[in-house]
Amino acid sequence: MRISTFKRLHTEDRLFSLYWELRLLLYLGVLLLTTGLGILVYKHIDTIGHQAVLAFIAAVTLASFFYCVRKIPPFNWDKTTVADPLFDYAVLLGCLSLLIFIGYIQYEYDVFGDHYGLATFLPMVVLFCAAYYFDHLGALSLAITNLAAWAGIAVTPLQILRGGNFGDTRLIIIGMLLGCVLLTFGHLSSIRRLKGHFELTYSNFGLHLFFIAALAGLFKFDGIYLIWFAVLMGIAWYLGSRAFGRRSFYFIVVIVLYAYIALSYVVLHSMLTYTVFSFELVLMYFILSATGMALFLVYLNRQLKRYDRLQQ
Amino acid sequence: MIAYNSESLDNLAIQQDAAEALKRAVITPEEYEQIRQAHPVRLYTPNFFVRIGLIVLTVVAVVCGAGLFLLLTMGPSDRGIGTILIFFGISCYVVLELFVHLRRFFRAGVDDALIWMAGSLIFGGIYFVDGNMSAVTGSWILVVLAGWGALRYADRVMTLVAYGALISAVYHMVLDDVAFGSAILPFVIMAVSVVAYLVATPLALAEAGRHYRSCLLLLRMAALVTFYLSGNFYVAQKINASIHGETAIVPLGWLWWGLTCIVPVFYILAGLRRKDAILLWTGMGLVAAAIGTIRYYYHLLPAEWAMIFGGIILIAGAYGLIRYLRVPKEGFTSAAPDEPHVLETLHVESLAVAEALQSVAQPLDQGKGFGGGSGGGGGASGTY
Repeated sequence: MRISTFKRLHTEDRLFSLYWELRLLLYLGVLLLTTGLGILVYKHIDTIGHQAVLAFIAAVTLASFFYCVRKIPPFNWDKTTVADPLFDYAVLLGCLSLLIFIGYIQYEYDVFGDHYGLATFLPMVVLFCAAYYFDHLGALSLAITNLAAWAGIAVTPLQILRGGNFGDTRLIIIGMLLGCVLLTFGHLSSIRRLKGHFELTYSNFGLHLFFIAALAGLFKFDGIYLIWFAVLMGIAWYLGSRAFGRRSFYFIVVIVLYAYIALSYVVLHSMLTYTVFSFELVLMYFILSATGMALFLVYLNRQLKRYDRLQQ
Repeated sequence: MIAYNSESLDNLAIQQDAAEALKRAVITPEEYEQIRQAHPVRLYTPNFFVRIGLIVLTVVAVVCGAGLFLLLTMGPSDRGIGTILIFFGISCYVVLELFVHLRRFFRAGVDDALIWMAGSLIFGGIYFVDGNMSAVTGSWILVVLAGWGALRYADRVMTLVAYGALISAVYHMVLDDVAFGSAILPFVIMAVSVVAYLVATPLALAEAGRHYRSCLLLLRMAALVTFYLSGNFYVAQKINASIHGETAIVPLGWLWWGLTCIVPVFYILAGLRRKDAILLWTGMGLVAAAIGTIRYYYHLLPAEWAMIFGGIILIAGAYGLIRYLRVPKEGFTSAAPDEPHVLETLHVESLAVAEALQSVAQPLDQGKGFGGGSGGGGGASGTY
C-alpha cells in the first residue's frame, strides 16, 4: 500500500527539530525579563530616580543596536538573513526600548513640549532606518504604526474600530490618503526590488487603513454617499484586479468582503430612504447577496487556479 | 462512514507530502508533476483565504435564512421556535450532504460552516423544545451530534466539541448520580482521559485512522489536558469549594500538588524520549499552568523577581541549547525543520521517486529517475 510508504517518510527514525520550541522559550524569557524589570523599576521609582532609569533604558537601546550593527552583514536591498538566534530579538528590544525612552522623557520632562509631531516623527525615522538596515518586519510594523500616529491617527486599524473613531472628517481623509501612500510604498518596494518582501506588510496596513477610512466616510457623509460608494467601488475594483494579477488570494478575499459591506450599507440605506424597509426584505437581501458573494468567491478561486496552472 | 471518497483523501495526502518534498527540493518539479498525475484528487478545496471568506458568507446566509424562517412562521411558544430551528438545522444538513456528494466539497468553507450551523441549530432547537433539559442529557445529545460531525466529515472543531461534551457528561453523571461522587470524580475523569489517549494514539498512526489523523492528534492533546486538569490542585480546590464551601480543606491535597507539578514535566520528558511533538508542546503549555497554580496559592517571591529570575533562566537555557544543538546531538537539533541537513536522515527522494514510478502506468524512461544517483535534478529536467 502506498500510504504506508509515505507514512514511513514521517515516522522513520528522523532528526527531531527543536527550533520552534527553543525559540518560543527564548521569546518567553525576553518577555518575562522585560516585564519583571519594568515592574521593579515602577515600584522603586522613588529610590532609583528618573535619570538612572532613563540612563538604563538608553543603555539597553544603544547596546541592542550596537549588537545588531556588529552582527548584520553589509547592507543590500535584498532579503538578508542573520544566523545569530538573538539578532531578531535584539532589534525588537532596541526598537521598543527606544519608544519607551522617547515616551518617558516626554512624559516626565516634557522635552518636546507641545510638538507632538516631532515626538512621533523622530522615532519614526529611526524605526524606518532600523527596519531597512536590519531587514526586520517587526520594526517595519512599528515604524508604520508610528507613521500613522504621526499623521494624526490614534494607532492601528483595530483600535480605530474599537475606539469608534468614525466621526472626524479630517481623520477619515488622512486615513484614506495614508492608506494610498502605504499601498504605493508596497507597490514600489516590489517593482523596484527595494526589500521586496516588505511589500506584504505595507500593502496589508495600507489596504485595511484605506477601506476602514473609506467605509467610515461612507457612513458619515450621508448626503453624497453614492459618490463615496462609486469611488470606493472603483478603487476596490482597481486593487482587486491588481491583487488578481499577483494571484494574492488573501487580498482578494479581504477586498471582496469590504466591498460587500459597502454594498450592503448602500442597499439598506436606500431601503430606508424609499421606505420599503421591512425585516423580511433585509433578511432576503442578506440571504441572496451572501449566496451571490459566495458564488463570486468560488468563481474567482477557479479563475485564479486556472491562471496558476497556465503560469507553471 | 466518512462522507468523502477514500481514495481521493489518500491521494490528497500523497500530493501534500510530494508538495512538501518539492518545497525542500528533494524531488524535481517533473517528479512532482508525475506524482500529481498519478494520484488525482477529485475533491473541491479552494484556497485557505477563500475558505475563510466562504465560511463568513455562509454563516451570514444561514443565520438570515433561519431568521426569515422564524419571522414568517412565528409561533407563540418556545416549543414552536425549537421545532423550526430543528427543521432548519436538518435542512442545513441536507444541503451539506448535497454539496459534499454533488460538488465534492471538502474543507471548502461552505461545508465547514454548514456542519457547525447544522449542529448548533439542531442542538439549540432541542434545547428550546425541552425547556428543562438536564445537563447530563444535554451533554450526551451534544456528544452524539458533534461525534457524528467528527466521524462523517473528519471535522476538527467537532472532535473537540464532542470530547468536551463527553467530559461534561461524565462530570455531571458522577457528581449527580454516584455516591461519594465528588471523591472519585478526578479519578473517573483521569480514567476517561487515559482511555481517550490510548485509543487516539495508535489510531492516529494506524492505516484505519489515516483520514482522521488531524482530529486524532487534537484528541490526544485534549486528553492530555483533561488528564492534567483532573489532577490539578486549583481545579480540585474549586470543585471542592463549589460543593463544601470555600474554606473546606481539600482532601488528598498532597496528591493534587504532586500531580500539578509532576505531570507537565513527565509529558515533556516523554515527548523528548519519543520525539513526540504533541506531548512536548502540551507539556510546555502545562508548565505555565503549573506555575500559575503554585503562584495562586503561594507567593514564594514577589512577582517581579520571579519574572526576572525566570526570564534569565529561560533566556540562558534556550540560548545555550540553541548553540549546543547547532550540531545535532542524540537525534535533536536546533536548526529549522526545513533546513536541508535535517532531511538528510530522511530518504524522501528515494521513497517519493520509487512511489511515483511504481504507480505511473505509462512506460517511463527508467534511467531518468534512478540513473542520476544522488540528484535526479539536472539530467531529468534536460530531457523534458
